[in-house]
Amino acid sequence: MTDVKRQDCGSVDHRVHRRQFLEGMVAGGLSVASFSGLFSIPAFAEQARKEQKHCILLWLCGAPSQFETWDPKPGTPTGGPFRSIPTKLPGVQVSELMPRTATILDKLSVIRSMKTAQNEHFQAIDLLTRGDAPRPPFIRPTLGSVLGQQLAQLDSPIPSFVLLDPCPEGNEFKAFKAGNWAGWLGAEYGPVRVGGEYRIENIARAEDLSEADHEQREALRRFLSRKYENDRKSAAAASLNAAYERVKGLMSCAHLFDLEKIPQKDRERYGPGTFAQHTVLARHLVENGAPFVMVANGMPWDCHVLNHEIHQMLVPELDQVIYQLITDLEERGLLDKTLVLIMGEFGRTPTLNDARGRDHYPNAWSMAMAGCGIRKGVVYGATDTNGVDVKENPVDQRRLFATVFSALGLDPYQQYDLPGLPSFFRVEGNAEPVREVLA
Amino acid sequence: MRVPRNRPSLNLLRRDRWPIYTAIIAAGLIPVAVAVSDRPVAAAQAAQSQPSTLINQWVERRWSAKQVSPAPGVDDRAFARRVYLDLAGRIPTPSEVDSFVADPGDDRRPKLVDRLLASPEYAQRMRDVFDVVFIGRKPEGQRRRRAPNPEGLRGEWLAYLERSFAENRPWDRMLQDMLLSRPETPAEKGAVWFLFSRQDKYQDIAEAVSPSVFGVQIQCAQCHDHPLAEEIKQSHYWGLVAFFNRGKNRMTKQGPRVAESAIGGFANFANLSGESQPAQLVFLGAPKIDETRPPDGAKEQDSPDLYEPRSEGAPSDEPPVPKFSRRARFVEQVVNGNRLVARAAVNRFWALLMGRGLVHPVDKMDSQHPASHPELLDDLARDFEASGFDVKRLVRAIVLSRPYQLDSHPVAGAQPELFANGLEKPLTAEVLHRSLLVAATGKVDAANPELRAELIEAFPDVFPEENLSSLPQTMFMTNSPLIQQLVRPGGGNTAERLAAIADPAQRVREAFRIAYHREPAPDELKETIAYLTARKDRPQQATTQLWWALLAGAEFRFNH
Repeated sequence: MTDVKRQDCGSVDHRVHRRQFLEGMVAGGLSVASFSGLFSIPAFAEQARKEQKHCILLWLCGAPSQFETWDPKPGTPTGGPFRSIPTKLPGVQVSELMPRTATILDKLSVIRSMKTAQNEHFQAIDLLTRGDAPRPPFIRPTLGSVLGQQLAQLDSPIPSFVLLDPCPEGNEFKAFKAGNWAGWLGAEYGPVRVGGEYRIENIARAEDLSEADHEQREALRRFLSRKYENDRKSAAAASLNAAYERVKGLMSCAHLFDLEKIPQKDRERYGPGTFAQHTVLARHLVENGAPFVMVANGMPWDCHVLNHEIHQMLVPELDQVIYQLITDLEERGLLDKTLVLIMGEFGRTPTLNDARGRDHYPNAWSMAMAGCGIRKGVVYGATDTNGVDVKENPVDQRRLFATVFSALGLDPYQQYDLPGLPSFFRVEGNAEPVREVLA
Repeated sequence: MRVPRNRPSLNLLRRDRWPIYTAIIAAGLIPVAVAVSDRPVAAAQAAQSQPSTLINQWVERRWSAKQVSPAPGVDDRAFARRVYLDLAGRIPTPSEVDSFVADPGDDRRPKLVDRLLASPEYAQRMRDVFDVVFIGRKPEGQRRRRAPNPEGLRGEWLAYLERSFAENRPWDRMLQDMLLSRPETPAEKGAVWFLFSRQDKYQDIAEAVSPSVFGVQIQCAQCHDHPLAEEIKQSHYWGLVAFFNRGKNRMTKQGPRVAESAIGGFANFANLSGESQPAQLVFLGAPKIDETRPPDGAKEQDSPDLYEPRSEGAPSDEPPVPKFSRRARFVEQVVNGNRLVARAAVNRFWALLMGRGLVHPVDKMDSQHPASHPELLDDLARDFEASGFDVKRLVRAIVLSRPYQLDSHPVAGAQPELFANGLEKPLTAEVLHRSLLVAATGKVDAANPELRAELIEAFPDVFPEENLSSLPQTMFMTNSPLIQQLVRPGGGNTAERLAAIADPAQRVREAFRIAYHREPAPDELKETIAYLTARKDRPQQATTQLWWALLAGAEFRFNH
C-alpha cells in the first residue's frame, strides 16, 4: 500500500486508476466498496496506523536570528548582548535565551551551516517552503502539500495539511498565503487554515438536516457537479469538487481542533501565547493522525528594529514550546514517527543596523530538527568566528529538502510524472541529503 | 510608447492590413455569424462594431496557426445566462431567457447587449468590480477603523463609480478624477477616495496605482530592480511614490481633499548594496520629469508664490494648487497618451469578460508575460484610445465577438489562451450574492447584506490567477445558516413554489430551469427523481435538498 502511494504524484491519471480500482472491486463482488473500506479490516488498519508518519513544521516566519538561538557568538563584535550556555551535548552551546532546549539538545539535530541565496521574504518563503526556486509557469507544491499527500492515510478524515496561523496578516507572508500552496498537485492538497479564535467557521450541520440527508444531499450535488466537471474536463470544477470532498472529513473531526478539549495543564505547560497554543494543538492533531501540521504566527521574527529586545521576548517562548513538544512526542511514543522542523526563511545579519536591528541574511544561518529519521544530538556545519560565513558543510534548500524526504522514508528524487509538465523531481539536481543528521 | 491624443488610428486605415480586412469581409464574416448561432446574426451587427471584427480576425488567425477548430457557437439560452452574469451581475430569470429566445429578430443578441449596457445593473456590476480593482478587498472592520466617516466617503466613491459607468465616462477621465483628486463638480468628488483612503501612505498609493492603471505589479521593485522584468526599475517604484508624496489628506467643508504641497518630498532610496540615490519623477517608459532639487540638507521655504492664485469665489478651506503639481504632471505626462494605460484597461475588460487576460495575469503586464495575441492587444488599445476611451464600446465589442460567443465545452488541443471555447469564470462574491437571490426568491432586486458580506469574506477574488476553490468556501455553502435559509421553503420563495409542484419530474425541470436555464439531461432527471421519490414522506425537505444540490453545484458557481 505504501509503495502504491509513493508512486502517486497526484496526477489525474492516478485518480483514474483509483476509480478503476474501486469499480473493479465493486464489479468483482468484493464486500469492500471503497478504499477506506479496507480499513475496516482490523489488521490492515492497525498496520497502516503503525506506519503512519507525521511532520510538524514550526515556521518561524520573518526569520529569527541564529546568534540569539542556535549559533551564539558571545564576546565577538557580532554576538550581541546575550551569553551562551552549555547544553546536554558536551562542548555545544546555545543562546542563554534557550535554557530548556539546552537540556534536550541531545534529542535534536542542529544545522548551523544553512546557506541560501534569497534575501527577500516572499521569495525566500517560497524557496524554503517549496524547496526550489520558481520555474514559471509551473508551481511546485509546498512541503506540506507533498508530505500531506504522501503521508496521509486514505481513511483519515483529518485534513492532510493543516496550517495553524492566528491571523491573515503578516506582510509578505500574507501575500504568500494568498498564493497557490498545492501547485501542480491540485487544490485538494492545499492547507486547511485554522487559527486565531481556534474556530472553524460553518462547521456545524444545519439543525433541520439529518446526518443521512446531509450526506445524501452532498452525494446528489457531487453527482451533478461531477457530470459538469467531466463534460467540460473542468479543472475549476475539479477544484470545487475536491473542496467539497473535504467538508465531510473536516466536520467529522472538528472536535480535534477544539483547544478546550486539550487538558488545561497541558496547555499551560506550553505557555499562553498563540504560537504555544497552536503548537500544543499541532501535537494533539498529530496524535490523532494528522500527517502534516504547520504552525505559523504571522511574521513576528523580522527584527529590523531592536533585534535583541524582540528576541528576548520571542525566543523564551520558542524555547518552552520546543522543549514541551519534543518531550510530549517522546512520552507518547510519537517522536520516532514525527519529524519536527524548526526554521524560518533565512537568518539575520551579523552586524546591527542603525535601528539596532538585524537585517535579512541568507548567507549563514541555522535550523533545527528532531524525530522521525533524524539522528539525535548532531550539530552539523559551522560558521566562522563572527558568524559571517559558513566555515564548513554548507546546506542549501535542496539538501535540506532531500534530508527531510529521506528522514521520512520518501525517495527524494522521485520524478513527478504529470501530463503536460516538463521533468520535475521532488528534489532537483540530485542534491545530497545531509547523511550526518539522518538516523 | 507614447502616442499623440486622438490620432485617427483605426486599423482599418492601415494600408498593410487592407488585404486581411478584405479577406475577412469577403469570406470570414458570414460563416462566422452562422457558426455563432443557429439563427444567423445579421452581418450588419458586426459591421457596426468594428472592434469585434478585429477580435475575430486575430483570434481566428491563431486558431489556424495552431490548427485548432474552435467550439461551436453557444446556444441562445447559454448566451443569455453568460451575458446577464457578465453585464448585469446576476443570472437571468427564466422569463427573461424565454423572452430573449422568443425574439425572432436576427439582431436579438446585440439588442440584449445594448439593453443590458443601458441598465443600471451594468453600472452596479462594474462598480463592484472596479471597487476591488482600485480599492481592493479590505475587512469591513479595518475600513471603519482607518478613516473618519468612512461609510459616507466610501458611499460617495461607490456612487461615483456607478455614475461613471452608467454615463460611460471616458476611462482616461476616470483615471484623471482619481489620480488628480481635485474635484470640480460634486459628481467627481467621490473619486477622491482612491487617494484619500490610503491615508497619506504613499507607498500604498504607488502600489495601488501601478496595477490598477498600468497593469503592472511593482512591489518587488521597492528594494531592487525587478529580477525578471528588466524594464521595472527600483527608481520607478520610488518615482511613483514621489509623484504622490506631497499629498496630505484634509477634511474640508466641501468634503475630503488631498492637498498638495509645493515643496518637500525629496527622498533617497538605497538598493540592496546600500547605494543611495535620489528618487526622481519617473515611471516605466515615460520620460523623466525635470524638477529643481534643493541641495541635500537645505531647508526649503514654502510660500504662497508657489501656488496658483485662488480662483474667484473658491471656498476658503479649499487646498491651494501648487504651480508645479507633481500629481498634475503625472496625469498629463505619464498617464495621458500612454499606450500602457489603454493596454492595461483593454486587457482588464477582456479578462473580466473572457475569463483570462490577453496578458495573464492581468497585473503582470511586463516583459516576462507576453500577450497571447499581441497584435490584438495593440489594435484594441489603439481603438480604445481613438474612441475616446469608450468603455461601453469596448465591452460591447468583446461580448459580441465570436470567441465570446463560443460554447464552453473544451475542444481538442486548445490551450485556454487560444480562446477556442468559452472559458469558465467563477462568479464574484457580488454576482454570487445576486444570483443566489434571483434563484431563491425569483426577484431581481432582492438583497441580503449579511449574505453579501459573508460571501465577500469567503470569495474575495475578482481576477483570480487560477480558478481554485477553498475549503472555507465549501464549508460556507454547505453549512451556513444563510444558505440554508435560501433553500428552505417559506415566504413564497422558490423553494416553496417548487415544493408545491406535485409531479417530481416537473419539480426537477422547474428547478433546473431557474438555476441552470436548461432542461435536465436524462441521467440527471433519473437521479434527481429517484432522490425525491425516496423522500416521499418528507417532500419539503427533499425539495430543499435538491435545491441546495443545484445551487451549491459547479454549474451555478461558474459563468460558462
